[in-house]
Amino acid sequence: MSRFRAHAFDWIACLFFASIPVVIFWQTATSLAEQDAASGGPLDNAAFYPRLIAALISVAVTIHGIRLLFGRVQDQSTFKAETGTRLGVFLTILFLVYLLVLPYAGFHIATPILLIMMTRALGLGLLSALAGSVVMWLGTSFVFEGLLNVVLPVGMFNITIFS
Amino acid sequence: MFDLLREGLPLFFNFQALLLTALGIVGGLVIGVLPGLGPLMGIVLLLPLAFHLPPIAAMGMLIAIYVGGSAGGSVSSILLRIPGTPLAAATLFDGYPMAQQGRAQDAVGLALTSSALGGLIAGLMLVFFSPLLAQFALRFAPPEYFAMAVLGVLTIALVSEGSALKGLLAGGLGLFLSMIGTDEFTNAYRFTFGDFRLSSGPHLVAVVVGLFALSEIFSQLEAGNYLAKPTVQRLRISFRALRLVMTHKFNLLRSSMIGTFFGAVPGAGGDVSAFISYAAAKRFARADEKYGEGAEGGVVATEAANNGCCGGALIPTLSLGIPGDASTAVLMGALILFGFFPGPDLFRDSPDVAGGIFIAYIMANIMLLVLGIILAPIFGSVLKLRKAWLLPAVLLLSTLGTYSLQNSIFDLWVMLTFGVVGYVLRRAGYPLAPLIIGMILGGIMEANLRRSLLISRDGLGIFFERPICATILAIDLFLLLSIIYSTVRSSRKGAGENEKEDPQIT
Amino acid sequence: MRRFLGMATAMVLLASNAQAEFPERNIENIYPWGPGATMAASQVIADAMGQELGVNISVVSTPGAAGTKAFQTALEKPADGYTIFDGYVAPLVLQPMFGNADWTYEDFKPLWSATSNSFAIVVRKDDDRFPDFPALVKYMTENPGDLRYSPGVTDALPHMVAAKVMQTSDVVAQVVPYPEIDNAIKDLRGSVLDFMVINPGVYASNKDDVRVLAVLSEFEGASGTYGGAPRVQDFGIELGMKGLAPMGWNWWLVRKETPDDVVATLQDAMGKALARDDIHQKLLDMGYVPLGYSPDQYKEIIAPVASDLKSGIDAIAWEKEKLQGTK
Repeated sequence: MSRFRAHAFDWIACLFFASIPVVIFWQTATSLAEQDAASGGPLDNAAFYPRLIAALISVAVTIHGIRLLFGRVQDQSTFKAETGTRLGVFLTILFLVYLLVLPYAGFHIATPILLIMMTRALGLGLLSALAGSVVMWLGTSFVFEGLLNVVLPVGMFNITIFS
Repeated sequence: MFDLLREGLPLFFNFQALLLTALGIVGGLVIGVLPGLGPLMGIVLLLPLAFHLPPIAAMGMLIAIYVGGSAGGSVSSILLRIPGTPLAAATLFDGYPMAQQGRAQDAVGLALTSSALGGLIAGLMLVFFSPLLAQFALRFAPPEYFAMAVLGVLTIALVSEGSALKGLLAGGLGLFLSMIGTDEFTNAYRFTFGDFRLSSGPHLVAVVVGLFALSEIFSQLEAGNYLAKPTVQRLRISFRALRLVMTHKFNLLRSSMIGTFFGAVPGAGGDVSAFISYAAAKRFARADEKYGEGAEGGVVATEAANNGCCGGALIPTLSLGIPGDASTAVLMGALILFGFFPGPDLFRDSPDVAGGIFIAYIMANIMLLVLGIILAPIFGSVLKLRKAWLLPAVLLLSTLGTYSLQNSIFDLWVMLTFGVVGYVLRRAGYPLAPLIIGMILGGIMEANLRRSLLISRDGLGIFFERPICATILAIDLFLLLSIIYSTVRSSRKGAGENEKEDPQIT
Repeated sequence: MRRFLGMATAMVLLASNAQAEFPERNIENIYPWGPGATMAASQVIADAMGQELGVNISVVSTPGAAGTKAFQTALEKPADGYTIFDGYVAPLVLQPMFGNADWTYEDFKPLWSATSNSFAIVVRKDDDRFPDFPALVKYMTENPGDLRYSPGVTDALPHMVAAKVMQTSDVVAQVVPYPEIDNAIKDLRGSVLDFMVINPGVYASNKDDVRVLAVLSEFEGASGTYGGAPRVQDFGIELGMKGLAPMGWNWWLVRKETPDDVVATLQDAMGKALARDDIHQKLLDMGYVPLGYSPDQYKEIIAPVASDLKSGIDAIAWEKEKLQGTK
């Protein structure tokens, strides 16, 4: 068990890589076969090359898995929380929520809120966090929306500032 | 050729064209530095502005964005460990370690001067050897592309030292990512799971930003110390970088040639040339140069190559009317918009415009050299920012840069997903660069394999009948054997050391 | 925080105020292919139309799934006139016929038609095996499946027209897909391909190195874009498709639910932009012929095209079968 713990991330990565050939063989046998693109010559067969690559990945994953199993991998990769891991996870979730609300709230509502929460969480004082966030938000909006004419997510309120 | 340049002089040397070229370099650098947007999107976004300018001034600006954008990505690679563009992914290897050793300004200066000099060498090739290189490019057909792509994939083993197997796995993931989307031959949807947003696959840039930028932000968050004021070497304008780059003359020349070559052959791009040139530099390095631990040569190799590629890509664009890469395709579109059709016609009917473009390209690189030296300390001052400011800013810029690629929130989800993937792979000790190589080369490799087989009447014969292709394949084979040999040898040795060390660890 | 909320409310008010006057912000044109010369043609129109409206219209390249990704992306946006479909034939008519999309051309409100381009069959300039189009047909009759050609991508319009012409002459060649047509023309010039189907833009930048054997259009004007080259029918060979059917074109559209006054504003602006002489000339210079069909003509023009394209789809299936027979 300790061997699994010592290489925790390595094992996760190994499982992740092992899932690639599985997905390739599964999809070529189902979805591509249904689309009539899993057999025939180079013009008609969209599955040949993926299967070839999947076979090569399988070999590499197997070798790596065996090396892991027999403790032949030197670098350890344990689950070890560092000082900022909790905050990191919190901010990742915050960003996830940001992406979820972005299409509805729009860039000009969601972004300043994200920035203020983030700068505050990183320990900046209320006033400087507020001022800095507004500067960052308006500054980048000016460049992207005003100068580069990108249509930033307008949200349900149809808000734009520089266009 | 000199006639051409003389014809172009009056068109280019006016205040407006010079100013716009300088602005283009600065704008391009900034666009390159920001994670997400690169030279291609920079040109696309500013093209509408160019409509309203005189042709040479507009082309000067767009070419300057192309040149500056190709160089700018290195700055964020070096300072933040975040490649601003996929072109600069290989600059990470040595640029970031250099900055860690307190040589941030040297590294940025070196990157920008090698970019400019690489671009200038390519410019000389453009002026003097265009017809020759263009003719050579015509002899590059699907079988040759396939062989080249295999060569590129094999360099993965060279750039992921110590863990060739992990490198190959990461490369395999990249190859898989390149298969997602609509198959070019059957128009079948492959690995899209019925989601139309995946019908052109995950966007390369969204993947790069996620893998490098988001995972780096997370690692920085984990490390704590958000309010500590970083101590940074004093930054000032200095010509030291020029002197440094001159100690790598041969590397510079070789890398620029590699870049020019990859640019001149349509289809392969600056990112591939940067990796291959890095691998070559590492192979030919002196024993005391520690590649991967802050070797100056590594920065010179990648940056000279990816900017050399710009000049290279202009060769088929201007002399054949066939764009060398996506960015030059847009430049060509702009030129057509102004009523000039690239190709032999251009040199015959409007030599002043052709010459003006040559001059614009060369001037853009000279300006990059000058502005790079002036701006290096300003870029470097990013390091003075406290993390509490730096991290939200990088996140915001990554988000905006990625969104602006296709005005797509889905791309942001791709970015976040690959942020998580990047973090796990990084913790597990996987090199990330091979993933990018795989993703770029995967499509080229598959399409040209299938195309070759369609063109061939006798199956695999086509790969051996064509001399250039057979030569590259022979190199591939040699490289493969040498990789297998050195892997087996080092793993035997590694196992031996492992056994010796084991008692001390437990 | 309160100050910020105040600002936000002010902006919301500002935004809802603005709805009275369309357009109040930048408009997106969702373009279905990768950046390049064809996109520049759309940018020219977008730029001029934006000037009429007083806002910027940005052309957003959203390639994928033979053009349908762009349509699907645009369909997900609200029907408020701020999203325009760059309605190329492939995603608008062709892909739904292949069963790859569930809309028809009647699901959109039309603005003006934009540009059209006819296709042509070209060979290398110095390829003396094929002095003219009948010689190419004769060669293919004698050596079925021996020649290799590229229409760019498969199953798209140029492929369809080429397959149709070959079907009517009962000949066949090996199709080699190239998503970037520039690479195909490189391989044609490098003697890897024998002939190609190209568009005027590609022709214009490769005129010195290719020779047009036949223009794939029955319009007389089509010859003009190819330096006066003969049309297929000038050799007494059936093209098998009429009118706009064998040609590439795009018609700008908006979602069906878009309010009429908004549509009218957009139609008016696009009409004015296309009527400008400088825009007209610029497009022509680039090899794109402005079609000039008004929104009212949308249905009468497109309905016959749709039925004609059916035969093209059959031609591709025929080509596939025939090719298998030659192996």
